[in-house]
Parts: sequence; structure tokens; C-alpha cells
Amino acid sequence: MELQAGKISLDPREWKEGSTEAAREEKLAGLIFERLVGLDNYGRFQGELATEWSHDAGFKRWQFVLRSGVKFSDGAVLNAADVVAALQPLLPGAQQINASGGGVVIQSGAAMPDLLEELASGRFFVYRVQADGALIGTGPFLVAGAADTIGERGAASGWTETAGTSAQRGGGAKLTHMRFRANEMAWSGRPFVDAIDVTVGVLPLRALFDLQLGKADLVEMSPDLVRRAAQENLRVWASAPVTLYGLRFDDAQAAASDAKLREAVARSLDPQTIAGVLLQKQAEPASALLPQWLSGYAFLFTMETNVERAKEIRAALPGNAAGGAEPLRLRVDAAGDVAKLLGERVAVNARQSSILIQIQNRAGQRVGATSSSGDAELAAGLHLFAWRYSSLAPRVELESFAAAMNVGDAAGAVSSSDPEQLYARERHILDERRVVPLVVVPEFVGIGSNVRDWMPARWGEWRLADVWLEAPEAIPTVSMPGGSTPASSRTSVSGAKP
Amino acid sequence: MCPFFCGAQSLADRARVLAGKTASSVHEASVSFEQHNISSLKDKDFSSAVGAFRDELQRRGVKILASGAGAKVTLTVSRDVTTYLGVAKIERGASEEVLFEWLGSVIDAAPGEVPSAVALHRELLFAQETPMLDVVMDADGKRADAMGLGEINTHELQDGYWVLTATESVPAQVAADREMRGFLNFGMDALAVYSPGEVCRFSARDQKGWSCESYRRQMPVRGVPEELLAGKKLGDWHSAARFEHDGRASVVVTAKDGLARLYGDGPEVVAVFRGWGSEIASIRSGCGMGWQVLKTSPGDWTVPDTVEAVEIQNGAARGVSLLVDFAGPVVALHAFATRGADSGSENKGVLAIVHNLQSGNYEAYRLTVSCGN
Repeated sequence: MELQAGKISLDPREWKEGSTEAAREEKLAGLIFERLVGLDNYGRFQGELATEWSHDAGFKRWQFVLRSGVKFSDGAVLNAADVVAALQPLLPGAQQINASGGGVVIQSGAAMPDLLEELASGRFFVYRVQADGALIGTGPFLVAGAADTIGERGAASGWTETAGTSAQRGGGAKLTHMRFRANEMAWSGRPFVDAIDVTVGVLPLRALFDLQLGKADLVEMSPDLVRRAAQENLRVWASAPVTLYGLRFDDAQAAASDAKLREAVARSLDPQTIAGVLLQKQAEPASALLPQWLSGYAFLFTMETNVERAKEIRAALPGNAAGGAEPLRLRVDAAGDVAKLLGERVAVNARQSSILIQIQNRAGQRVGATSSSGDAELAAGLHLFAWRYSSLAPRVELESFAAAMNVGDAAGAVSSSDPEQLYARERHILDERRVVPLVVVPEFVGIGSNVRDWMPARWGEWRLADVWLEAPEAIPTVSMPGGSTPASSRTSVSGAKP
Repeated sequence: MCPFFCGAQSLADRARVLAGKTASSVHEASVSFEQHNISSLKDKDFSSAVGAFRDELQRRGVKILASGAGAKVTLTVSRDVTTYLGVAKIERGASEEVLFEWLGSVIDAAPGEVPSAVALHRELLFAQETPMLDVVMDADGKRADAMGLGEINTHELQDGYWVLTATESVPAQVAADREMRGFLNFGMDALAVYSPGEVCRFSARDQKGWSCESYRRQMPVRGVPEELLAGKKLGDWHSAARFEHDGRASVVVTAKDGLARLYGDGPEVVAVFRGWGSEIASIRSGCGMGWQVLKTSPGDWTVPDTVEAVEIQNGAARGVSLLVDFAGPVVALHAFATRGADSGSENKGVLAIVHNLQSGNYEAYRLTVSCGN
């Protein structure tokens, strides 16, 4: 498996909400950790570490019965105290979790009708912290080792074999290679594959080549390579749109505080063309903060593109507002080529309405400036961000976004999952025009030709324990001496479901 | 999510609730109306919801006109991750008002419908949400016990509908196997549940309840006596089917290397078949050669499956029926079983358990063969 990430932390406490890095880490963490509940592809909650759940009439108190006989990878039996210790740091402050009988109780002063959606996604994994600070889980795989350098020909060096129980933790160590092996004692059943080797920090084009050559079975694929992969007859899977690219205005540059200028910028943008042409239809134009598959009401928001109106507004503003002397500075906060492309396109769109936008790199310098130019770090009035959705509860996701972007009045935060309230909240945030959605982009995964039972969730959760690899076709023989079986029958099943 | 248990009300009921809200907000006596379905709700169910919405609107005194109305109402059925969402937008000139109502869980989608040489027939018996591994029916065909993962679900035929009436936990000690295999055996007054590596037994006679023990042998196969497999060089096999020709019994076995192997009287393989799926079972139809082997198609669990009847003669397998399609992979084929009967009633058909990829439900089908197409 090849990922584009530069560093990985498998500690849910360290993940940054909304980041693409956290989404990647969550996928790997899902190999070794489990949650109380999961959501299947049919919209049904499935018990994982919990087998039953119930709540009071006001949805303020939920009780979960824990599955018995579940063991951590060191053989210790999972108990309620473990669940409390793992989840309490991850739950929002208003939610309290306590052990109760053979299970746990989660309580809050406010109703939590969407608690299951919240627990079935994102960081809410159950783990145990070992004496040495390492984390262990109950999942279908164990961390078997990690390496921090890749030598010639891609061979991992500096390989550290773990005791087979530890997850890497602490600060997102720069690993290049991780190995996960099957957990023979997993309550959910041993995975079909014996091991998963993960290489991180692989450039997108290199990953594509490796997939073509059969050197990788699964690779993260960037949107700009999807069409090429399809032309090469490679299998590519696309999730639902899970990453929002957008603009956030920042009062650090005075111009950004002008509501009229914000409106002019918003109306000058052309998300349709960005998605359809620039991103080659590998993205969708966004007019809402939450995607349609998550909120169910995103279709109610419409695009604001109106270049003529943008020009009118701009003409009525002072000449130096986002003009030649003081352009609006755009900092591309998101990493990757897609973000750079979007930033450039935003500047092009805005120029058509006589709004001058100057792109800064992430270090705060003007793009194209040399270190000797004497540019101090200049405050940016505009940021291009990428927000990766992680929660299946629209309320949680919206408030998490609002808090991270510092938009929307905190006092106006929605405490219920009532769609009318959520819609009103989102409408209010968008009307302020401090954030402007551009496009939403799926995740793309290149899949090797021998991979079978690839059944991820459409919101991007990979389910690798069910995946198996088809072996090259066996040469049939009429007599089988001694009843022997072909090697690797676990990982190689040719032409038949296991 | 559907927080206020809209599951207690039907889709149409919830649509009426939304219509009631809409009627209260519409101050005009007449509106124009549009509907859109941007969810996975089937056309039939969407039409039912729209009909209920319109009827309720009109019952509350709002007339729906083709044109010339003061306001426009647009009903959209959308969905989030778990629930259908009804959205009514009321537009009056430049202003608009939006009303919402949860309509029901998306899991309420109906299971795949049954469309209704030798001819291979299928009959949907019942479905359940949780995994199903084997089924044993009562002799009168009105009660079925379905083995799942660590449980047995009892379904009863009531007024023409199969209803889940009981669930019994089986105290298995060994963790469930991802291969999802199982075998259910009812004796006169005892029950045995076989899972990979374990067998749990319940005896009504001694009243000791369930007892489970390790079981390291190959799981039994209904309709294939152990003595037929004894002494043969089988390797690591998955499924087996027996048939007879000219008074001699043969057995076909599917192996984990993806090949199906034919054995005669002796221990050695006499023929190998490629391109078979892992699940097979036989049926003594009396048609054609008298026996047919039903086989699934190769593939994994992400694609729908087909079942075909084949006849084997002189070491060659020949398809003798059209392919029967299913809405998901066939996770198990067993000789059909009824309580108290001998191990497999070979002329009662074959049980096929299918995981419907559209609904997520597990469906039990009876497959039978009739002579001619």
C-alpha cells in the first residue's frame, strides 16, 4: 500500500480535525483499533466493541453494552475502564463517559441524538496506553514494525521490529514504511491477508507507476492522475466527495474585513469551471459547507457566480481595495498540487472583476519572491484551505468546521440534529461570506488487478480486513499427491471467493 | 439520523407530517407543485410519498394548480448517511422558506425482488438483516431456523408473510470466521451448530442447555456422507456435492485454490473444472441425467452472483440450465434440509443464501429444477 503522507501518527489524540493527514492516519488506525459502533454501507449501525445500546427519551444518556471476550493485542481483556480511558480525552468536553456494569454510559446536559454517528466515525477509537506510551488495540491487525528510511530500490532500512503490539505514537514520527500483520486473535475473525506493508511519502506519479508494475496493490491517487489511470485500464475507486476546498477571509489584512469586497470576490469565482475543466470533472462545484451525502440539504444552496455583479461591487469600492498598491494576499494553506492550481485559478477569476489577488506560499512570502527581496512575513487576507470531513454527524462536522475556521457566532452553535437548525446555521455562516466554498473532491484509490473484496465505505473508510489477493492461476493437476495444499491459501485464492 | 423514531411511522405518514407543516406555512389558497427525488428511494416509494404529501396538502385546503398560483412548493426527497429527508421549499417571488422532515431510515429499502434442457427455478423464502449461514425448515414449510453468527433466528410464515419470531444466542467460544461458514443440524430432540473450529450442541432431553467444544474436522456437508469423502486426496476444500450416475456415486469438491475436482470411487482426482465459484450443491431432480450439480460463478463478494445447473459425465461438466441471477453474492449453497429428515433431502431442492448488495439483507432462496425449459 502506498500513501502520499509525509508523517503518520496512529494516536487519535494527536490528529488535527479536518486535515487530510488525519484522514490518512484514521485509515491506518482502523487496522489496529476499533470503535464502539460502525456504520455499514446500507446506513445500518453495526456493533463493534459494543453489542447493544440504548438511550433515554431525551437522548441525554446513552448506555452501551460491551462485547465480551474481546482482547487487546497483548492478550489483556477489554473492559469498560479501557473504553472510558480511551474515549474521554476524545469526546467533546460536554460529554462525560463512565463505566457502568458491563458497559459504559455517555451523558451530556444537551441531547445527543446523533451520538452513534459521532462514535461511528473520526477519531473515536478504543485503545490502551502501554507503560512505554505505545498504544495497542483490538483490531484485525497488529503493528509489526516500522522503518524510517528507504534505501536503494525502495527497500526499507532502519527497520525496527516491534513486539507486535505497539502502535507508533508521539509527534508524527517521519516513518517511510510500516508493516501490519494479521491479528490471529481478532474477535471479528482473522483477516484474509497475512500482512499489509505501507509505504508513505510516495509521490503520486511514482505510486501510479508502482500500481501499473504490480509493485503496489493499493495506492492513494491524486485527482489529476485519475484520467490517466483510467486510460491505462487501471482500477480506480472514488469515494463520495470528502474534501472541501474553499477560501477563508482573514482580518489580518484589513481589506478582508470589508463585507462588500468579500461579496465581490465570492461572486467572481467560477466553481463550475474549476471542477469541470481545471480538475477534469474529478471534483464537484461546492455551494455548501457540508456535502449533499452528509447533510442531505446541500442542494438548497446555489452558486453565487455573477461576474457582472462582482464588477459593479468592485467599481463602487475605493480604488486601493484589493488594487495594485495593496493586493489581497492569498495564502495557500492546503498542501498539494490541487491547492496550488485552485489558488492560481482564484486569482485569475478575481482579476476579471478587477480584484487583484497575490498568491503567497505557505511560508508567508510572495510567490516568486527571493529570500533576498526583503519581504517580511506579510499578513494574508485570504486563505485557501482544504477541509477533510471526518464525522458522519452533520452537526458535529459543521460545528467543528466553524470552530476551526473561526466563523459563525459560537453562541449560535447548533446543539440539535434538527435539519432546519443545521440548515439555518450553515446558511448564516455562508451569508457572512467569511468562508466561500469552491469544490469538493473525492478520494481516489488505485487498486491492483489482483485485489478482491475491496468494499470501502463511500465516505472513505477502508475495510482492509475483508480484502484478499488473487494468486496467479494455478496449473491444474489430475492427481494431488498427499492431499497437499497450494502455499498461501489464506492470501491467494484463485477464481473463487474464499 | 432519524432521532425521533420516525421508524414507527411509514414513509407516507412522515410525508403527511411535512405536508401539514407546509400547509401551515402556505398562506395562499393555491400553489404550483414540483417534486424531485435525489435519494436512493425507489420510484414506487417516492410516488407513494409524493401522493401522500399532495393529498394531505389538499386535505388541508391548499389547492394544487398547474399554473397561475401565487406560490410554488417543491418537494425534494433527499438523504444523508442513514435517513431519507423530505424538504419542502415554498417560493413566493424572491423569498423562500424551507421546511424539513425525516422520512425514514434508508434501511427500509425493500430487498431485491424476485422476478419472477432442465429449468432452474428460485423461490425467495425470507430475508433478514443479519448474516445467515444455513437454514433448516420444518416439514410443513411454515417455520425456518436460520443459523447466523452466534445466533439462530426463527422465522414463521404468518398470513403469507415470513416474520422473525425468535432469536436464540449460541454461546460460541471461537471468534467468528470471516469466511462465514456454518452448518445447522436438527436431530429428533437435539440441535448442533457447526462453525469453523467449533460445534455447539443443545439437547432437549438432558436439559443442560448449550455445550460447545472444539471441532477440528471438516464441517459436515448436507447430502454428502462422510464415507463418500473418506480416503480421497482432497486437500483443503471448501464445498462438496455428490451425484450418482449408472448407480455409482461421485463427488465434486471445490478447493481454496479456485478449482473444482471430481472424484470417483478411488482416492485420486479424475477431472478438474475451472471457472467455478466456491459454493456447490447437488439436486436429484429426476430430469436429464437424474442429478444436477448447482454451482455459483467465480468472483468476490462485491459483485452479484449467478447459479447454474451442470451435469457431469465422463469427466466433463456441461451446463444444462440458464443462469439464474441474484442481487448479490451467494454466500452458501446447501442441500435443502427439513427437520428430522435424513441429511439432505436431495429432491427437495437446494438452499441458496444471498447477500443482497442493494439492501444489505441476507436472503434465503429455495432452488429447484424442473425438466425442460
